[in-house]
Amino acid sequence: MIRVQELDFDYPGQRVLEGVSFELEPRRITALVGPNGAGKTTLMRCIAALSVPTSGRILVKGVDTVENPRLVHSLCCYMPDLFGLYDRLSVKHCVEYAYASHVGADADDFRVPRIREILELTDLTGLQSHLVGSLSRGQRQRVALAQALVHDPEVVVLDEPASGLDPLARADLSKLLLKLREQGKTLLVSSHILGELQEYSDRVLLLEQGRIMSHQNLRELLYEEGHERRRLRVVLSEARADLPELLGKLDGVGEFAWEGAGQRAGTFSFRGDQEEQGKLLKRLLEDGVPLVSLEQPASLQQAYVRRLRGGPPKPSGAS
Amino acid sequence: MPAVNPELLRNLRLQFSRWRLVLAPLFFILLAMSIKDSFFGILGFFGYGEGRFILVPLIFCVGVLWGPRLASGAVLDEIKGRTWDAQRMSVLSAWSMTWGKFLGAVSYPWYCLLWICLCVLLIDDSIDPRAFGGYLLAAFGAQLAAYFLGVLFARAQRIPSGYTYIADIGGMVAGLLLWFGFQDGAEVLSKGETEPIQYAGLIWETWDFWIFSCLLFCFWMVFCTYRLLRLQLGYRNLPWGFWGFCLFLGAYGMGFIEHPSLPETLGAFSTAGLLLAYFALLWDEMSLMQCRRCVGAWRRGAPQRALEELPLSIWVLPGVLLFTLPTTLTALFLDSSTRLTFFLVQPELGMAAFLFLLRDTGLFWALCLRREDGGGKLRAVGLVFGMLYLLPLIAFEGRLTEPWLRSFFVFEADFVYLPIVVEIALVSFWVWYEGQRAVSRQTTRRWSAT
Repeated sequence: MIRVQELDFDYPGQRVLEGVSFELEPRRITALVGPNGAGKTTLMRCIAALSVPTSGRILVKGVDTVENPRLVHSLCCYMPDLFGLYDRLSVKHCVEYAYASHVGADADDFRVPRIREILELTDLTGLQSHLVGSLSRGQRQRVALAQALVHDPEVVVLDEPASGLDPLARADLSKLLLKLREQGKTLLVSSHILGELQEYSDRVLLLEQGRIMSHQNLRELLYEEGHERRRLRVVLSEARADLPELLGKLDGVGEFAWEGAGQRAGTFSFRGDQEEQGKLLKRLLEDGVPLVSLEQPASLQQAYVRRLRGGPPKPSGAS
Repeated sequence: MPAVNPELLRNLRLQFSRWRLVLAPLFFILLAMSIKDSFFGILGFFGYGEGRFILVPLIFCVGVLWGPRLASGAVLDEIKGRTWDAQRMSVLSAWSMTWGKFLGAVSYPWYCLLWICLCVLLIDDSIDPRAFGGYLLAAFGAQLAAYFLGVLFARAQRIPSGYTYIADIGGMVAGLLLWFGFQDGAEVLSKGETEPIQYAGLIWETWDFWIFSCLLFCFWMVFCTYRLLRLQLGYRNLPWGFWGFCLFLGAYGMGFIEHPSLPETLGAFSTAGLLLAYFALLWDEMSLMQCRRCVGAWRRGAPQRALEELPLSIWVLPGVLLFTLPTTLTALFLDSSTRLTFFLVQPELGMAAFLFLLRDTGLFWALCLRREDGGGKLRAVGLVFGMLYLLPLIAFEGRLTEPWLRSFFVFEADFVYLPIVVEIALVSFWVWYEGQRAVSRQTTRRWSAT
C-alpha cells in the first residue's frame, strides 16, 4: 500500500532522513516509534505529500507523492500531533466543512449519511451542536480525527494521536483504530506511549537518527526480545524460603530477589526461550512449589529501549 | 445545503455570528441618524451634506486598514492556527481556494462597507458616485495586495509574526497610494474639470486611466496569488506566469513613452525583466535542498520535474538576457539615443545591467548557502544595496573615476565591462566554495547532532 524507496530529506543545514526504505502492507496498523528528533513527523508528512523529499520516492497505492500530490491527498489522511480547529464553529459545521473540501461542494446526496456515520464512529453525535472551543482535549482530538477520516481515506497517518489523552480516551482511541483496520484501512501511527501501541499494532517501524533501525512484525520483535536474558516474576500461594536456593540449581537462572518480607513473590533473571521457560515451570511444580503465576511478558517498551541502546544505527532497508 | 465554495462558507460561518450580523447595521444606522439632522431631529447634530466627512474616512478605516488585516491573515493565520495542513490535504482546486479564501476573509468588512454606502446614499447626495466607486476600488486593491503578500510570505519555512504585519502594512501602503490617487481624481471630478493623459497613443481621462490601471493590477495580483497557492497545494509552476507578468509590465511601461524607438521598446521590457528578477531574488528558495531536488529529478530521468524544481532566480536569467542583449545591440547599431528608459536602464547599458544581475544572483546564492539556517538573504540584501547604491554614491561624491569602481553601478555610457566580468568570476568561485561547504556540513551535522 505504501512503498518508500531510498528517501532522503534535508532541512536547512541538517539531514533528517537518510536512505529510508520500507513497505507497508494494506490493512495493517504499523507503529512508527523512535526518539524525539528521529524524523518520524517528517516521514509522515512526506507520506501524506505535505513535504517534498530531497530525493527518493514514495508510492501510496502506486501513486507518486511528488508527481501527483493531490491524488495522494484524496487517498490518505494525516492528523498532525499539534493540530488546530476552528473554535467558533460547531462540531457538525467543522465536519461538514472537512467533508465538502475533501469530496467537493456538490456532494450533497452523500453528505448527510456520511457525516452522521463519522460522528457516530468518533462518538461525537451528542456533541454535534457544541462549539469546538468549548470541548475537552479528548473531544477535540476526536473532532480532528473525524475531520481527517470524513472522506473515507484508504491510508490513515496519525502523528501522536494519543498525546494528552486520559486513559479512558486512549482506550477508546485504540478501539477506534482497530475498527478502522477492520474496515480495510492501512494505518501508520506514531506514539511515545508504547504500551498502547502494543495493543493494536501489527508491525513496528523503528526509526533513529533518520534511519530505519528495524521494521518487523510485532510478535516477531517480542519473540526475539524473549530470547534475551530477562526478568521473570514468580508469585506463590504460600511462603517458600528455600525458593532462591532451589532456583539457583537450575540452568539459565540468575540472581533472585524477594518482593517484600512475606516471601510470597520475587523476581529473578532468566536466559532461555519459551520452551526452556516451560521446562523451568514444570520443574518448579514437580518440586512442590505452590505457584500462582510465573511470567514476565516481553513488552514493546523493553524491546524499544534495548534496540535503541543496543549499538550504533544499522543501515536502513529492513522490510 | 446549497453547493457553496467550502472555504467561503466556512469563513462566512466564522465571520457572521448573529450578534455581528446585527451589530453592523445597528451601528451605522445610528451613526447615519446622528449625522442627518433631518432624519430624526433629536439625535442629529451635524449639518446636512457634511456626512461624507465622517463616512468617507470610515470607508478608509474599514476598507483600507481593517480589510487588508483580515486578507493577509487568510493564509498566515491558518498556518499559525495549525489548520493549514488540513486545508492543503483537501481536494479544493487552487482557484477555488484563491477566491473562496479572499472573499470569505473580507466578507465582514464588505458587509460593513455595504451599510456605510447605504448611509452615504441616505444622508449625502452631493458625493459623486464615480468618486465613491474609486474609494471602494482602492479598498479592494489594498485587500488584494495584502492577501497576495500574505500568501507570498506563507512560502517561508518559518513564519515570524512580523510577516503578518509586513503583509498588512504592504496592503495598507498599496491602499493608501490608490486612495490618495482616487482622492485627487475625485477632487478634479467634483470641480467638473478634465485632466487628460496620453497613454499608448490615446488620450485618456486621468480618472478612467487610473481605474483601468487599478483593475489591471488587481487582475495580476489575483493571478499571482493563484499561482502561489498552487505551490502550496503541491503543484509545481513553470515560470510562464512570471514571464507573462514581465511582458505585461514592459508593455504597460512602454505605453508611457511617446513614439518609442526599437531600443526604447526593448529597454522597457529589459527594465521590467530586471526589476522582477531582483524581486525574485528576494523570495526565491535558495538552498541546497532545492538544488538537490532539481538534480535528483534530472538523475532519475524526469527532465520536466527538474525544470519545475529549477530555482526561479536561475530561470529568469536567460529571459532577462533575451531582452537585454538585443536592447544593447540595437541601441549601439541602430540608434545613438542615450535617453533614459524609465529610471534604471539606458538601452546601451542593458547588457551591463544584466551582468550586475548575474553578479548579484551569485552573491545571494553564496550568502544563502553560507547561512542556511536563515539570515543569509538579509545579508545579501544589505550587501547588494551597498554595492549597487552606497559605494557608487561614495565614489561619485569623492569624484573617484577608476573604471573598477564605476563598474559597481552604471553611470555613464563609456562603461568598462572587464571589472564586472572579474567580479562575476570571483562570485562564481564563492558560490561553488559555499556549495561544497554546505554539502559537507549537511552530511557531517546529521551524525554529530545526537
